[in-house]
Amino acid sequence: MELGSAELAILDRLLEARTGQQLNDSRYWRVARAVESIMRSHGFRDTDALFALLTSKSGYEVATQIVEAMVNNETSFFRDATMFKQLRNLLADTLTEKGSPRPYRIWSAGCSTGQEPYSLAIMLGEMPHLPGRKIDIVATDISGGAIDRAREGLYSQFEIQRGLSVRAMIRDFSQEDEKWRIRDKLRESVTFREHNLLEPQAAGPFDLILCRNVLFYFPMATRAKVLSHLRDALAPAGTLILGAGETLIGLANGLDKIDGGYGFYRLHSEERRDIAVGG
Amino acid sequence: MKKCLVVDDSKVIRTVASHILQTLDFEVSEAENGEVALAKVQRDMPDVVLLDWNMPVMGGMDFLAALKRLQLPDRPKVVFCTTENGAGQIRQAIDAGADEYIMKPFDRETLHAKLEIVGLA
Ligand SMILES: C[S@@+](CC[C@H](N)C(=O)[O-])C[C@H]1O[C@@H](n2cnc3c(N)ncnc32)[C@H](O)[C@@H]1O
Repeated sequence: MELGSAELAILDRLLEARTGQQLNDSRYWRVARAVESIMRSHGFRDTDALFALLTSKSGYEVATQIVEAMVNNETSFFRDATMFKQLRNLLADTLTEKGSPRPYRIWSAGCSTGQEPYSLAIMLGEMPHLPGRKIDIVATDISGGAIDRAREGLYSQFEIQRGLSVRAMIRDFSQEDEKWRIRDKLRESVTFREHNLLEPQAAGPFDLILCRNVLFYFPMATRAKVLSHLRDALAPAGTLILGAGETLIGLANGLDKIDGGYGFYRLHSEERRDIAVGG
Repeated sequence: MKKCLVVDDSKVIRTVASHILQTLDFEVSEAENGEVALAKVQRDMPDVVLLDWNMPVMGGMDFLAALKRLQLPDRPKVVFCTTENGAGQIRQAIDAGADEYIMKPFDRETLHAKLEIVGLA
């Protein structure tokens, strides 16, 4: 199947309007495959019929399906093991500090099918020396399909063993035929919600925000906007973690990189003080 | 260079696993059953053994028990790599002393992550 430039332009506008992401050449195949699968599921013979529906008033739902199929949802448990080791140390230091009766709040932004927030929950469960401070994990994604899967917590054999230790798999999941389901206690420790990062996050502040392998897909101006939403949701002494290959170079951002931390950021000390004074 | 011994009665599986391991910078040797593997472990001292479950002559679980009896000062890590994918069997392997478990089929990323988990990548 070939997509013409007019059709690609429609898809580009649709993707950008909904997610802030832009199409580029390297995603052409993903887009072509997305369109093909949607055509098959609707029984369309040619792209004209699909694009006619897409651009009509009743096209919202099929547009959502296409957007979800175009977006890269790739993820895995404990993706980037070095980051998780450093985070474990940070949490061990932070959560043992005495004197905070309020819950420690974590946001996994762009959580895809749930592997990232569940990895956090699994890791926290392995740190029994933590005192009884309550921990909230909120996990969001723009994709309703991904959030549904995350809530379900059911993973294929391929997904489950990518990055997860066998001990955690046996302890924290139960087998259902060929699949593995996260145990209720862990599932209930994460609150999943649909949320678009182009919009502010109203549920802050968070002590820890992970937004990994998400900014990468946005053009610069959109990155700045999303980053400002993340920053606004960060507690004064909170930590923001980006993906291993993602930098904030070229973005005026009010954040400082933490030494030795692999993509770990804190609010500029001045902004921290402003917030402390102001709030 | 880290060393890995691939134990599987299927030549195809051994070849595929060896190839992946080489791209992960391992020096690889192969054995077609547990008995051959026991001899090679003592001779080559691998850092890790990738172990199938069902094999003629000596299977994976018997190999694991025999390996324990050898009481080597530096016992290699053992990663089961098998189509026996029931939770019961997995538990049994862990209780018998396996360090990790991979359900076939697997890809390079999965193997790499598992080797990282046992401290070898
Ligand atoms: C490549 S995945 C990364 C998942 C996970 N954070 C990780 O690092 O493994 C990117 C996720 O970002 C989500 N996403 C893309 N645009 C978004 C937006 N505007 N708002 C919220 N999530 C978005 C996608 O749906 C996808 O699940």
